[in-house]
Amino acid sequence: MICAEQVTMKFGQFTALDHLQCSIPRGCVYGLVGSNGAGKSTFMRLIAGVYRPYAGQVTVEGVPVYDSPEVKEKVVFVPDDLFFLPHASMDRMAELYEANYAKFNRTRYAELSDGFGLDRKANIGTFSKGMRRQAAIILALSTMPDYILFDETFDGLDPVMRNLVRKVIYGDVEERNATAVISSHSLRDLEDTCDQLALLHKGGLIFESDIENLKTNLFKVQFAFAGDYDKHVLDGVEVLSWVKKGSVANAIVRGDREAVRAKLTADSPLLLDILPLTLEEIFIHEMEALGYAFHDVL
Amino acid sequence: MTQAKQHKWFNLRLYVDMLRQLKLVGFILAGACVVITLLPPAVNLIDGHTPGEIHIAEIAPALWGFLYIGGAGLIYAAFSYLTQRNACDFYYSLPSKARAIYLSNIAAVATWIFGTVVGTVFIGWIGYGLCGAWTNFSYVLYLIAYFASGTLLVAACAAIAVCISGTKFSNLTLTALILFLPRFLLTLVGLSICEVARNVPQSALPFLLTPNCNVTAMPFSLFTSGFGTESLEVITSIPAYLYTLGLALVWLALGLWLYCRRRSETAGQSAPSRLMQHVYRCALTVPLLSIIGFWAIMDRQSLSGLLGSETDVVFVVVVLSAILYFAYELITTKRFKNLLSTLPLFLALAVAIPLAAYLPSKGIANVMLSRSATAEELDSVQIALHDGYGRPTYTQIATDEIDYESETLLALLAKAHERTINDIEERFSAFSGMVAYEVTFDTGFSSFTRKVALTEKEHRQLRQLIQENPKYIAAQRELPKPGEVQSLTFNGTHVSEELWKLYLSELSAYSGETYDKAITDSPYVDFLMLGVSGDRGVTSYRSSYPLNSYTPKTLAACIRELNERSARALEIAANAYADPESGNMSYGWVQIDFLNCGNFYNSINVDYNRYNEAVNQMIAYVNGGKTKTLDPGDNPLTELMARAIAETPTAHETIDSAVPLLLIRFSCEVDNEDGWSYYDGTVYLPVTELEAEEIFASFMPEQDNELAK
Repeated sequence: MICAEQVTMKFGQFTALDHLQCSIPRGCVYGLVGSNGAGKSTFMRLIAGVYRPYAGQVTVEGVPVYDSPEVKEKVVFVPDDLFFLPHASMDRMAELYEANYAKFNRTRYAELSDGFGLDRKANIGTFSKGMRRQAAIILALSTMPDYILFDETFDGLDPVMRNLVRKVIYGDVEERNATAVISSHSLRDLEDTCDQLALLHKGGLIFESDIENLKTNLFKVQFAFAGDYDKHVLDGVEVLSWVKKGSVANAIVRGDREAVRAKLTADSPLLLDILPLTLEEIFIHEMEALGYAFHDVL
Repeated sequence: MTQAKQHKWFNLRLYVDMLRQLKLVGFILAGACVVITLLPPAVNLIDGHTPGEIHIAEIAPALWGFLYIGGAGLIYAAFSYLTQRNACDFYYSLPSKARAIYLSNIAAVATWIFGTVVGTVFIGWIGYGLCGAWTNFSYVLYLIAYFASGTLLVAACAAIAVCISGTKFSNLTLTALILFLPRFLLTLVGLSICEVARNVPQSALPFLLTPNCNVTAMPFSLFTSGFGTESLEVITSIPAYLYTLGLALVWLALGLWLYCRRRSETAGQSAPSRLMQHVYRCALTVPLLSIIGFWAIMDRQSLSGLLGSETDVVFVVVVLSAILYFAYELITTKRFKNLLSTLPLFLALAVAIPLAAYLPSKGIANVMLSRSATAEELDSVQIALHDGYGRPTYTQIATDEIDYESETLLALLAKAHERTINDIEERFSAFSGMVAYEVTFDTGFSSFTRKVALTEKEHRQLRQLIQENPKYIAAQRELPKPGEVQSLTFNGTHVSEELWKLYLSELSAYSGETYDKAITDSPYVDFLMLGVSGDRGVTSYRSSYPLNSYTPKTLAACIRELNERSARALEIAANAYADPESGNMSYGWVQIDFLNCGNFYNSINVDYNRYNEAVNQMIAYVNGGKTKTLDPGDNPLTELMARAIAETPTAHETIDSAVPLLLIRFSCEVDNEDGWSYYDGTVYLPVTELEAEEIFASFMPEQDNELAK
């Protein structure tokens, strides 16, 4: 588990993270979403042990990360701004990784390289941006980490490659109980990949939740009754939004789907549909409930 | 134990990887060193020229550049990631402790440094050996120690710089500051002390104030021409290596501490914080602004006095400092508005730094000037009879170590020193028209060394007291022990150090006044001299001892060695001189000196130059005046050379310096199966007086011989 306890990070006068408190459990795919400058990359670097916190601490399995080789051996970081040795090939970089990571797996490295179709002996400088990202991902995954940190890594990948990487990550999460932390400023990118999400804004954690729970408990109900009716038909249900146009009403509700269906069915509606919400819609409503305007934050 | 647990101090695999990463830079530097070093011996080999004795500084000349460029360049390459944010983040994310990464990188750099230095020195030494130059294997060890310690110190300074800044420009600036600024200041402190306290010789300054203590401070020896030691002496100075290496290790340790505290986000910034940015910028102004303070001391003025008398120059210095100050800020931060906000600090520096340079140095100088001791307080004194210029002789070192305890002598020197101090304080001058000696006064609790000015009368009295001293007499008779001899020459040409043992064994048969004569009688000034150099303790010496009638075996052995060494060249030269017109000699000269041949000292030069119409025949110059044209086919030179060749090297077990001796030095350029090559050498030929006269006469013009008859 990754724990951030009242973590503050400053760069000169600028506060990038302000008393951040969160925990990331083992065996999940954790999404970090936020606008530019929210603190996502800073937080990722704190977890990777690149930065030393100004205050508070970041621990992995109870051990502070910074300058701790035992912890860092389990963590691998794929940043947005990649680094490779000058004029190096993937094989050369693999040697550098192998020199530092005890569990670097040559077999896996070869399999992944072949699976992604990359030439291991070619100069990485000749790769396209997407190929460089793939190379970085392959090298990182070959270290057999327990915690994989991707900082806006998916942004440069095409949909096919994105699926491929997703599959590999899921495999690691399932087989080795690994944890993947993926940051992005796009909810759509994270929706299909992550099972937990956290929203950062101006250095603080605004919102953190399990996606499945979010999607299950928050849904849209579209219905119509003969005759006049109002919001009271949903008394006893938590209604976040109510819009009625003509005889058709659309309500965003939080609660148990079957209970809501049963309640409305009892009144013989002319129309009843229970529809899932997109993540974006869920976030809009959740953040409005917290007093934030979604489009100011994301 | 997991690999992570092992990566606490050193990561072997990272070390090996860094060795690979430094391959490009390392091979370029090493390759340049080797090529430049091999050029001179290669040219000699192609020309067929034997260079003779090679000075230690010539063996690996490229390393003078490698010392500065290689040391810093390798560090910049190894720690290049500290100037790029993405690279820095990568290295900081690796599962090794920061100190393990630092030490692994430093070890890789040190490996390249040591490999380049050792390889280049050996290649240079072998190269010169192959072309027949004389060198001493001890040169190899000295040079390795010198360049390895110096380059490591430069690397250590660069290591500190990369740990406290994050751009290439600031790395370079800080490296120069860390490497040179302390030494620059210490040198100026030393100079200004000696300028005020004129009775304090530079040799009496603390070790740290002398530039020769630090291998990398060679450029500062330009300031110190008054030191009286050859700047290249530092190459063989063991204290200098030890100090330099010690300082390098201290700086590397400091770099380790700084690296462990360094944050990854410093990459790309000129300083880790605004405060440090101020510090670096201020440090840049110190060299120029401090000159004002030191200048005032050396000009014997107060700071305000200097400002009044040299206003224009002080103004220029301040303006130059300001340019450096603001330019650095602009280049590193790229913000014009910072310039205005840093102006008050510069104005404060312009006042504070000259004061900081002036006050302490002046204070120290005054304290050192006035230090003295009465005769009653003194236990003993040591007197340096060597004037401080060039290397002392062995005897001078031995006599310098004598503790004189005579009350008369102590009183004489104490009084003279007191007067010297008063003269300096009142008139800034004490030594004009006087004889000066460096004297070390020992009070039993402490000692100090000062220059003492003596009147002529005092000088005579002092010499008499010294020469009566039994320790002095014994020291005069000391000769270098075989282990203290590094180099032995006979008339300027190197011979085997084994001959020194032979010389000592011959002398052991004598004692008293006979011994004194044996080591001092010189029938010929500059000829038949044994030159010996080396170290007595930590002090280098160079001495000469004449070979005379007391040392016939040594003289014979020296002559034998030189003759054997020149035998092949002599044969080639003899053939060429026998038939120069055949076209295989383009140029040649021979000098024949007649030693111990009666009452006359004669010298004959024979010149030949095929391409110079003025001398394209063999012409003998007798005693620099008379000339005689020699017949190429039949001439006394050819006969003489043939005789020298025929002279059996082992024919003389002993040669008395009283017998006539011909010293034949020759050089020629000959075309043989190896192409055009130079051949030169020196041979000695014992002759009888009659033979000497006949040989001399054979070179004289005929009309002079007729007149002589």
